[in-house]
Amino acid sequence: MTGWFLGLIILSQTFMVGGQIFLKHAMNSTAGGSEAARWKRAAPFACGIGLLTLWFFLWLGLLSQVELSYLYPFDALGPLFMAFGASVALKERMTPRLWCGVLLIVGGLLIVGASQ
Amino acid sequence: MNPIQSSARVKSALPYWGVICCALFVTASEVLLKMGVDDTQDLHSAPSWAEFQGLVSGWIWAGILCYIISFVFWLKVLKILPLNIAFNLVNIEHIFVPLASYLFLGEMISPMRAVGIAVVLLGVLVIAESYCRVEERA
Repeated sequence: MTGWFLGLIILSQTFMVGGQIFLKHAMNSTAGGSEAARWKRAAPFACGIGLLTLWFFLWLGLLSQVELSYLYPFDALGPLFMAFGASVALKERMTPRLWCGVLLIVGGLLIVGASQ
Repeated sequence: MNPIQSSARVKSALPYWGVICCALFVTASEVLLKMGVDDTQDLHSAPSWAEFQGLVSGWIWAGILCYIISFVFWLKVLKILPLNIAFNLVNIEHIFVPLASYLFLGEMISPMRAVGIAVVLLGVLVIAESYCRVEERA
């Protein structure tokens, strides 16, 4: 695997995590009647949808280059990236129990990927 | 049980139902998209035309509809749960998709894949339990 390809995989996961963070940010903001309040919610929502669209097409592009069984284990990076992203960007607290759950999911996804 | 306790219980159960509905609709979408793609596989000699035919297939449209419904449920879940917990709970789709592939598409689940699915389920349960603890403390 080239460093370029690995970089694209990491970029795709970053787009996905970023998109979800923007969506969460939009859903957290309270809806108000004023124009400013509507923009406050619509702007992160649009950014979230935009990033998820970029992730979707980048992931499709990667899938067209390699086999699914090769790419699938990298999908397991998602929960790890999300754990870091949400704790940094949204200040969500990660407890040891949550880390344990995340690592179990990552481990399970890697086993599923290896079984293909 | 008094009405206040009852409504609190219903409210705390809502994210779980949302997560399960979201995962079920994603699963339905994956199965329907696979059926749609298989339906139009004989047209793959001309890729661009095949992709267009794929969109025409009713299975594909049903798959897209299920995906949109799952997204609506996802937004409702995001409104209530922290992103970290919601994102990891919805990983339960990695259990539903192989089961649906086995039931509706006749695909086999190898012992190794079954072990992986069990580990994912364990992780989802650990995260769900940690959310319950946070709720109890609140």
